[in-house]
Amino acid sequence: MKNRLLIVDDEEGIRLLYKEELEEEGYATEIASSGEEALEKLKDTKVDLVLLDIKMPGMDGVEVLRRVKEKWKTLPVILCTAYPHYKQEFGTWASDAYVVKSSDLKELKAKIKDILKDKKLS
Amino acid sequence: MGYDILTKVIEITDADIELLRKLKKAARLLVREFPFDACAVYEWNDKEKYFENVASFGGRGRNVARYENNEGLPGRAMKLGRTLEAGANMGKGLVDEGLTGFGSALILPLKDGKNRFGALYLKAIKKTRPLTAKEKKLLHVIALQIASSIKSDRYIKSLDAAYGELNDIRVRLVNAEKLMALGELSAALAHEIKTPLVSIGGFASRLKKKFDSGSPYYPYVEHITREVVRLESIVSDILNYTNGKTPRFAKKDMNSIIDETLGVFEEAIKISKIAVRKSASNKPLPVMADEEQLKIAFDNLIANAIESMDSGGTLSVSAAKNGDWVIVEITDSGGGIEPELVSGIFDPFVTTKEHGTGLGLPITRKIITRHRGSIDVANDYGRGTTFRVKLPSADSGYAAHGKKTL
Repeated sequence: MKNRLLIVDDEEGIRLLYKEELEEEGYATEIASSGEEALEKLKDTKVDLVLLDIKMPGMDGVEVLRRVKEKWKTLPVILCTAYPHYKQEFGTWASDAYVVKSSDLKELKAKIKDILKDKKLS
Repeated sequence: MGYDILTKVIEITDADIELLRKLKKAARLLVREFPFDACAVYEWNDKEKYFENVASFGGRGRNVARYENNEGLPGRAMKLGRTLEAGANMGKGLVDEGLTGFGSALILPLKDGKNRFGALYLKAIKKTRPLTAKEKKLLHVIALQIASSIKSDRYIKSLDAAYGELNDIRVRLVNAEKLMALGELSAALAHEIKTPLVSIGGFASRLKKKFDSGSPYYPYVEHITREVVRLESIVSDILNYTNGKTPRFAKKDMNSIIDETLGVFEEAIKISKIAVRKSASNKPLPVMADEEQLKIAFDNLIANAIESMDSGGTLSVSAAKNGDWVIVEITDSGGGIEPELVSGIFDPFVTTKEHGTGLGLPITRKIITRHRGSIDVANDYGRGTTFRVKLPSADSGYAAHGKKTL
């Protein structure tokens, strides 16, 4: 069965890009354009991994991360952001990986692969 | 002779002329009004502790140019704190060549309380009549007036210097404010640009996959993707520069930071045929470092050095402990920086390269400063450049987390 990824980003371009690229890699994808929508979606959809933007209007990624980890402890979350310096912020430490957004998706794809592999093993 | 001489002295010392001209005029006045043939004025150099002959009148220049502390008659007069009268044979082993050819002399220390300003050295060729009590009193007052004239000159000079310094600081502040505004503006711009760039580049890469490399459209998409990568690196440079997060410090060995940074460039060094000369210390060089940031700083310096030597050269890297400091020097043989550009190399958006953002060195300096260090450059135009980074040694107690403050 395909691994299902939830893409959370307020930018339509990013959502579309991630969706197309990751589906091409063989994943199934779900889309949410805000933190609130993502939490709603997680209630009734089973996903294997969340790609989470940090800077979003309304509930930001750090807050979404906190709530996700509260409810679904083992669900891996990759934080995606334009800014490398969030890495140092305490609130982001609970994430499983941290990727600085780039038009080159190699790093993101590699991280997804690694995390899902680890998950399978455990 | 009476009090009119005091009026004359005050006129001279109050005049709007250079101090040395005042002293010269005063020397001439003293020779005219008192039974002396020559007058030499000595100024006291308080920093290096000596008397220097700065003005004189008469005596055909037969004055000692300089007396060290406590030396000669000026030194003795100052030490005793009172006027000295000297005959040709002073005895007591005191040597003063300034007296050669003269029969008698009078030396007045120029002072005010504990502050030394100099000495007046009045000389007569033949032994003259003794001065009257009134003359002595007048000379005493004149010496005070001359001393206060030197004193106010010193005040004015230090005021001028302070004013100049203040003005420099003001200019630097205004520049810093401008740069800060510029930094904020660029950060905001970079924020907005980053995300659309990721989409543009990402979709261009997807398009590229749809064309084979023989397609006439292939170069177009390739061009787009390449330029996006360049723009992305500019944007992340800007975000790195404007990111004001406080560093996280831990004790690190400078040697290993350098080794790891050099390791990143192994390939580039080979390609550009650069010889690396490393003189590291055998002992560990501990610094309090945010390793990630410090590596960015040295990364920039080494990348610059390598870029300047695209047709080969020598890259010298040295690290050593010097007192409380760890000093790292990175020298290239890449021809140096054009002299008129040197003063601005640490300012944002100044670049000497065709494809630079002009943020590498500003980021480097910011990081070094956050580590309580400093960076400077020695530019040998035509030959090469040396960047010298000074970081407080973690052993010194004045490192980033040390308790001592400046």
